[in-house]
Amino acid sequence: MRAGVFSFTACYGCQLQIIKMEELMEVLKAVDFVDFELVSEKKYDGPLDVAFVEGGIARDDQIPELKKIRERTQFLVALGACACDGGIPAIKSFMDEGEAERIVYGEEFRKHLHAVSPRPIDKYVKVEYYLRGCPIERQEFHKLVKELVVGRRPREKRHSVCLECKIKENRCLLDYGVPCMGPVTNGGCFALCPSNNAACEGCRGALQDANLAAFTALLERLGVSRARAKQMLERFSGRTSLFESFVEKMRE
Amino acid sequence: MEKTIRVNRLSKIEGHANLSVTVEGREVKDVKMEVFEAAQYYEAMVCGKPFHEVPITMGRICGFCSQAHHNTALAAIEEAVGVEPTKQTKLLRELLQIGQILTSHSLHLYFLALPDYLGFDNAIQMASRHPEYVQQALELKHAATELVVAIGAREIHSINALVGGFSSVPTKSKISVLAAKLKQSKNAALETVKLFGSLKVPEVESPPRYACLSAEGEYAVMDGVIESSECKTPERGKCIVLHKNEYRRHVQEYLKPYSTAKFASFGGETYFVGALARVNNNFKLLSEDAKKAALETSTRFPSACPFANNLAQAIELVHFHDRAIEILDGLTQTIKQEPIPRITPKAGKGIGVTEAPRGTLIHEYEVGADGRVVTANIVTPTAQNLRHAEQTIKQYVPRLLHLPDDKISLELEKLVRAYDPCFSCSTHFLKLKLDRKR
Repeated sequence: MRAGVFSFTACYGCQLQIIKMEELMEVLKAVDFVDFELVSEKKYDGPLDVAFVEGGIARDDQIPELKKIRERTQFLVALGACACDGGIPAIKSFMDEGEAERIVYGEEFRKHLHAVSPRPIDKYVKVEYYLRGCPIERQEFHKLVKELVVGRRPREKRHSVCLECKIKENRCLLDYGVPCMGPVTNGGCFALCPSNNAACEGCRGALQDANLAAFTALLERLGVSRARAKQMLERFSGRTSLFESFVEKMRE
Repeated sequence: MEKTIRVNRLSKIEGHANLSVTVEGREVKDVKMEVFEAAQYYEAMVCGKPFHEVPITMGRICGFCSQAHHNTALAAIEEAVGVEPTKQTKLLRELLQIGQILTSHSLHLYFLALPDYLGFDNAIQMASRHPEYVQQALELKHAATELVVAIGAREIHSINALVGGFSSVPTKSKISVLAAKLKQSKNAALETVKLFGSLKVPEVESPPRYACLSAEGEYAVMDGVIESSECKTPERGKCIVLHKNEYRRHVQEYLKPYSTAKFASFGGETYFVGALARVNNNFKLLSEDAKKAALETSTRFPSACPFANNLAQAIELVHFHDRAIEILDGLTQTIKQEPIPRITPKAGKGIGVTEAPRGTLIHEYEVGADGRVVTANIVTPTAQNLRHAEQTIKQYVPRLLHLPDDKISLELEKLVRAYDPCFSCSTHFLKLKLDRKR
């Protein structure tokens, strides 16, 4: 299997998860990473069986680059929160146009930045599979690769962090007044954060059938203002259609 | 006459950048590090957000350095809101930072730098010919990963290090397991010093000012004053010492139109931060075994050759093994889950300065009375090193001009890689463009 790993606007944490995985040597027996800039000079520009794309799109010159990757590959995997849902860099997309540029670089410098409002990659290209998390979980990447190698179509999980948290018999942080995003967030992480007594931050993106009205009402009962609830939804996956339309309604 | 050589998208570094070198005859006209990584807007994105969320968000600046950003933000935020962490929390954070330095250095040394010196394109090719090095790398990686995961609950983007303390801590038995594991992997660290001490590197002259944290009686990592010294003058002359609150007066950040990474100067002067700066300035404070290993190589510190940064990283692998073992041995009997204090927000300012794997990292925040961030400023190690790298390349290129272009590119890539730049932090990758004007 010929694979490529590409990076747009992100922190490289997801690529690092790949090169740091215990099973890397085993994976390399089945997968030929022909285009993987972080570990090797670029020499290959041909067709790919699978492309793993990390990061969202935040510069205008990234758009044609992403489209070219799409043309080269049979199967495209969005790798991690930034590629899947926009991630932390997409917080900027909720700020006033040009405001972030002005604060960090100053008005004069803005023209050099080629900035476009940060979005997940599926705004520009078709994505076959979303591998979630900030960063991705190594075992999930391993499982996905095995499925792709044997030619099985991988299926995404459709349950919440809450479900996994209950299976682990953790105490519910919401019961203790901690605003936790477990109920509206995709599982797959085995409730890693709540298992460490820390609130789910929502990094795996919006659960498809999340009841956001009920969730924000719950937050309100915990003393979380609507403005703050909106920030929580916008933090990792505010640019997924479910959260986007809800946040839009909250604004009204 | 001009000539252009481009090595597009320099690989095996963290981020996206081009290097453009313009040469006329034997004279180097211009060197530009064109960082074209998409700009990062973290300093703007945390504004208006509650203080408790900031360290977790800031860790996302960079997957390579997440704990360092996380820890530095914690220190700054805690100063701003007036919280003093317990001794145990401070030690656990230091362990996280050390774990980060160990993973980052071992990954950089074995995965990104070593293949260059042994003539391989990448670490995967190197693996089949030199399984012994891969073995060492894996041993170091396993121990450091286990340390970070045990303390921070996840290797990249730790979970439980919150403002005020840790929401979960490892058990006493886990602490002893970690200490035992590091005592074993220390041998691989010593072997790494031997290996990198034996590599032939070019002697390159570079600007001699080196800066890092400095503290009384310890190899400073988590706190201290910022000290810069000229490594070539006797008695470390022209030493400048800055309290962290003074950083804005001396560490000036500026922008160049060709780069989304910011550049920085130290009182108008070019300087270097990172492992080499720490080893240069604080050599005497290294652990005994680290000093001994360093003295067994042919390189002497202080060194003004940026290629020595690789060896300095190897020496630090030994030192930080020793320091981590010391902390862990101290925690074996005492570690316990401490309550995290309830923090009532108040208006304030705070500055955090730590030694990240690649050098001195500064975070500064102003928090409003409602607990929301008003302003944020971050100075990253790579931003501080960009100007140093440009100037060193300018001094190095004339010695390479007899070589064919692809060899020049390779040598310059090696040099840039020795800096271990991180463009994800400073925004974020490197293409080489060599303009030859004859």
